[in-house]
Amino acid sequence: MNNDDFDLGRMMDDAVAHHRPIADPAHLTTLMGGAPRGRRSAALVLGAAACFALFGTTALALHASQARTTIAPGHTDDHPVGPTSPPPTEPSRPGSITTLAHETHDSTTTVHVVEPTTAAPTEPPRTEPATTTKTTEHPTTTVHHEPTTTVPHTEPSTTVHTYEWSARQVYETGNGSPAPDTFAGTAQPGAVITITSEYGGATGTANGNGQWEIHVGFVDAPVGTQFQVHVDSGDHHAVFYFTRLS
Amino acid sequence: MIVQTAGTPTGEPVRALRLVGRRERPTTDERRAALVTLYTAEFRNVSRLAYLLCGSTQQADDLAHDAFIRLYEHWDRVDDPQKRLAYLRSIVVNLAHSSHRRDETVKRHRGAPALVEGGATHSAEDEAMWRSSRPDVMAALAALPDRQRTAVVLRHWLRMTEGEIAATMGCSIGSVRTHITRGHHALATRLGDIR
Repeated sequence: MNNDDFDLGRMMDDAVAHHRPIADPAHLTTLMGGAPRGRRSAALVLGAAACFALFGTTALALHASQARTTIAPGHTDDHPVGPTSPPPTEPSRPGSITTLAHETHDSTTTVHVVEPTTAAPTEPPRTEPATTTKTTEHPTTTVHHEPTTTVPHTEPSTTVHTYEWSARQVYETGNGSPAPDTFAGTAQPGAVITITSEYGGATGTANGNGQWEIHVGFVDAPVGTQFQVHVDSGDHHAVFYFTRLS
Repeated sequence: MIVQTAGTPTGEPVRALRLVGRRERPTTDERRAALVTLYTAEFRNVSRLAYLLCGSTQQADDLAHDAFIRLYEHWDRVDDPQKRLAYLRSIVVNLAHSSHRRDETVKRHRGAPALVEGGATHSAEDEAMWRSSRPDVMAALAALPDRQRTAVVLRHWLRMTEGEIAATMGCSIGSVRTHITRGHHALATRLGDIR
């Protein structure tokens, strides 16, 4: 070390001579308080707690969903589905082209059938309009499926069938120009159904199962003009609106 | 054929061989106690080194504390207690370099004035300290580039060898010589005849 180094070093010593920082071990200990190991441990604990909370919440949600599933059949008693369910009823909407129109029969049309095994096909009428449909109300099978039901809807020894009057229509179901339209529905067995319109009509009778089906071709109907088709059967009446397009 | 086997002359196995290469990690309390001891003994010198490098007393104290904390976090990297002080100085140099670079960025975007040329914004305490000490030396050091200032301070104030400076700064000895030569020449020009 030569004199040059010594002089410059001494100048630096003089420059820092007035800087007298005081060591504060307590402050250093405070700074060391958040050591990485401690932070990692805290993060692990918090992460584990979050995982447990997540799993617990998921388990509770799953348990709740299973609980709802177990009580679901209780609701089917009020709305039976399948072979014993009545066909869906939709109110007719006059003023628009309607493909289904029916009325609910009153209690005076209820008949008592001795043999319940002669039940009609079980498919709903809207999906297969050409087939016959018999609607039942409060069948005995419901009583067998739900023995815990406390409401006595039916007598266990008899089966009550209610023929619900309905009429629906399917466009152009046959051959011809224009193709005839099909009117079908349900009514009391033997009931006469009359279809009338300005451009044609027909008459039919419901069979023993209460189904009826009538084909009508409106050959003279003008193109682009709306006209009405009335379906009558006793006190029941339905109106369909047609417009020939070609 | 002579085959050497591990064992004592009496034929007993050397159980200590199992501990070869195994390093006993100090506990947290041991590390804290050792760090506090080092801190009590070297904090003033470390803070003064930081003061020469950054020119601010408050910033120097902060840098010194940060350096001790970083040494504590990387305590296992330095096995030899004799090298911990050198490692601590290396941390101070790096922190001062980072701080200087950050201050330069702030000045470039904000144009903030500084009491000492090239340094950070200083407080009234810094100004009083600066006036009572050797302002010419501090101003001359502040005017040097960062690497030259570090090399000159380590060489002339800490009396470190070029090899130690190279290890501390993380560069070659040739670079250290260059920095020292240029820094010395700049200081001589600014301070006059320091010989």
